[in-house]
Amino acid sequence: MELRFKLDIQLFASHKGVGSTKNGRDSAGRRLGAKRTDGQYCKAGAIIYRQRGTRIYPGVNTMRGGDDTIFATKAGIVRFERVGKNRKRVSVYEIEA
Amino acid sequence: MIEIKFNLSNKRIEFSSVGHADFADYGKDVVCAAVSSIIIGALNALKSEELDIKIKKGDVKVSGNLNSHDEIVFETMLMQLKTIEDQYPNNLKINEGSN
Repeated sequence: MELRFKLDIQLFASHKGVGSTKNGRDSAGRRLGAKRTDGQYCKAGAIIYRQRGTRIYPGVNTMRGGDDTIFATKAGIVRFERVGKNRKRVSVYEIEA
Repeated sequence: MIEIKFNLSNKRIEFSSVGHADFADYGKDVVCAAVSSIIIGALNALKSEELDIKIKKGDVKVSGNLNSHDEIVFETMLMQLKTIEDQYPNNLKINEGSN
């Protein structure tokens, strides 16, 4: 027997429950953090620490770049040091020839 | 709230069912499922081809003259819908004799 009308069993249901989220987007991770470890040798210009803001401060033979990256200005051994109560800095000490 | 207007007199039917049951989210609204099944089932049972039937999402309207068979179909449908209204007065409201 051919039915004239097809049943939509939710004909009188509201679509409130079925919403779309406006979220669901995220940017790729920026791979921040240490790129050299304490006691490791690095060349001049080597990036030591990627960061946003100054989690780590520049120390001896290191400088802070425009994006707060800490990099070495001389070749040598990397040292992470404490400064005061809760600050850290990173220095590069040249190897005596 | 689904609002039903049901006016059957002198073998002429003016029927409308408008609104949302709002009993639960889409896909889980059992009151809506019951009302939809009763109404669409009744419309499928009709013999007369002259009735003006409009079916849209959340909006069904029927009007026209009925033969005795279809009159019984509509009376049965009304009773079934009243059975639901009795249990779910916040989701279904039937206005008889008004259009």
